Amino acid sequence: MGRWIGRSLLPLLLTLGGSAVFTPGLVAQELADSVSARTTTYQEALTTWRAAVTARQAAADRLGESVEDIDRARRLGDDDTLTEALRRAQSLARENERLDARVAEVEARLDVARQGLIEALDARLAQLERMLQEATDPVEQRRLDAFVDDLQNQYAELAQDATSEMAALPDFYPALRLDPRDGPSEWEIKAQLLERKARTAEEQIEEARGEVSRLERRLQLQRLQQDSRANRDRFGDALPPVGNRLEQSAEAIVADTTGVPLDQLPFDQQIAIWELYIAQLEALRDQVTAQAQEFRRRLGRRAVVR
Amino acid sequence: MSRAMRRVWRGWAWAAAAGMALLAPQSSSAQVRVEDLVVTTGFSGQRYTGNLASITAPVVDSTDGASAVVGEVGVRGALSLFEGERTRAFGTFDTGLRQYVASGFQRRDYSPQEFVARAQIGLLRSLGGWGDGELRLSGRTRTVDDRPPMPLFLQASFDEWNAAAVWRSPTFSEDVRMDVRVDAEQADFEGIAGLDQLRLLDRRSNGAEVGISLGSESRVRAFTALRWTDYPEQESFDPTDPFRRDRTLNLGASWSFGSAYLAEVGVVGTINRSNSSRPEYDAISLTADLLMPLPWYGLNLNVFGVLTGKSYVQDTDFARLVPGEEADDASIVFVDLSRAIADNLGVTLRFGWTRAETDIGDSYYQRIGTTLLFNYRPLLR
Repeated sequence: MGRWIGRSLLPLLLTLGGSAVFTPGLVAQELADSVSARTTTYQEALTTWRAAVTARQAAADRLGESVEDIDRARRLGDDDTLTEALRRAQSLARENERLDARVAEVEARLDVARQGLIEALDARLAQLERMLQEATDPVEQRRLDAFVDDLQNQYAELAQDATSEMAALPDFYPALRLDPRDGPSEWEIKAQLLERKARTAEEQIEEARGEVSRLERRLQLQRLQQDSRANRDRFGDALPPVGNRLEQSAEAIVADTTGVPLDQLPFDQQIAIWELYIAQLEALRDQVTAQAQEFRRRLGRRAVVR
Repeated sequence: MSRAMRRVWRGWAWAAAAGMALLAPQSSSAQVRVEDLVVTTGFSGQRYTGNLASITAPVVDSTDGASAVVGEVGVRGALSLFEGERTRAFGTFDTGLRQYVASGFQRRDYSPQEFVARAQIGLLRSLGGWGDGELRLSGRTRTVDDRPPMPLFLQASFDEWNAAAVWRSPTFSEDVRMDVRVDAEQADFEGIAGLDQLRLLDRRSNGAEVGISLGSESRVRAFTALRWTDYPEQESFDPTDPFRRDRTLNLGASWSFGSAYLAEVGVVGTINRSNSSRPEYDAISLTADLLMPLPWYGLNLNVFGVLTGKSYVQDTDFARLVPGEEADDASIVFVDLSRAIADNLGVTLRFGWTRAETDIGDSYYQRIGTTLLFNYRPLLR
């Protein structure tokens, strides 16, 4: 029995002892691999995020153009073009909402990847610093120093990513943003253009609110109609007594709302889309107003300096 | 527990099961969303007059007039069960309970109770350039307890199932769309002690309907429908073809308008032919439904009317009617005055009039009533 126990335990003890001897090297390699793998994951997430932000920016550009198209069609009194431009703007509003959600989703993934990489860098840095303290060979010390410097640089880049890129928001009129080469005359022109765009956006917001009010009245009427019919039909009070009942085909409900004209969607969905559109117009208005104020502030400061 | 009460409980269980199936937690890609939920309560006063006999009443009372005070509650809802890129699944349900306190009968006072439940699930799929396809499955149950004699007519108790497939074409030029519907239906009426003849109403039917519509805000729709109905409990008195089989052709058109007011006018012609000469008839039914805001106190007016005329192909001397199912001529008018009390609460005052007549012995049935209804949407902001 004792021999059996000895034979059985010996390989186990040897394995455990061997692991203890080789663990520091293995752990170092594992940590280095972990940093490498998590860097790859982070880079992939960053690339995806940048693509999503670029797509959102392109949609914001199109929305800005669309607001201009609506304004132009309204001034020319071209009803067909105005209707088409409004449909396109609402479609863009839906697209922007989808892209906002997409950016939020990939941003969350990027955040997770960043946290994972920071943890791996922390662990690897702590380990390298321990090894540096224990190292006596100057060549080994220089090698470890270089590793530590490189990791600290990665850490700094990561922190910079988090504070700058994560704050990125769509820019509705990138051509009108502040350029270091601009002087007072460009500031004045850009301020005027931005103020006009803010007024246009405000006018369209008012009209969209009017449309929402109209649709809310229609929705209220529709609900009244549904209530009235349901209360008549529930107990069969309005059943025409002529034998076979004819089941009228219900109002068409569309399966795929993406290709359907807005005015054929249920009223609550139409209202939701209009409200989405209003929210984006408000964001546009607020952004261009703030930009115009920034130009005005610079012009005012310059006038004071003179 | 009485038989009727068992049916009520079965109905509640049936509705609860349907509701639970509709509300059951789904996977994240199949998130259930309640699109509408309405709780309705109301009470009314009704006056019934007439001498029309009904096979759905277990006893005959010598009175020609009766009154009832009625309380009712109803819950209905619409659910989105699944929303995919090209596919949607939805469900609807509607249940209601009415309690009558009737008076004016010679034999005794009655307290009838009506319970109804209806549920439907449907699947919609975009067929791309081929339009939309839809499958629907619906069930309905109805129970009446302490059924009174005429003239307080209440429809019979039954269970009904219906399965339908609908195809809607894509929109052609000028907002033109076509639709095709096929369906199968089964209705089983519950016989009660002394009233087994209710089972005569059992039916199995299949139908097809083709329609074409034009316009969106102002919309015209024309349709034709063909229905084959078997009544397995009714004899045709023809030994070679012993059970009643009907074929019904419907031709109809409607115009609807939706803008600052909602209007709908429709006409449906019916030609019913059978292997039994008794139920062969032609009928025409006119429907009008108008809903408009009034300029006073936020009131809305809804006027709904149905006028039906029916002519039998062959005259017979014996009564052939199942009032509520097969009266000769019927007129129904409802006038609603409604107003929103809050964003999610509305009140409706309803005046209702129904009259059905037959050319056999100048029999008639009439109901006049006033109802106060409250519609509450608890999920609305």
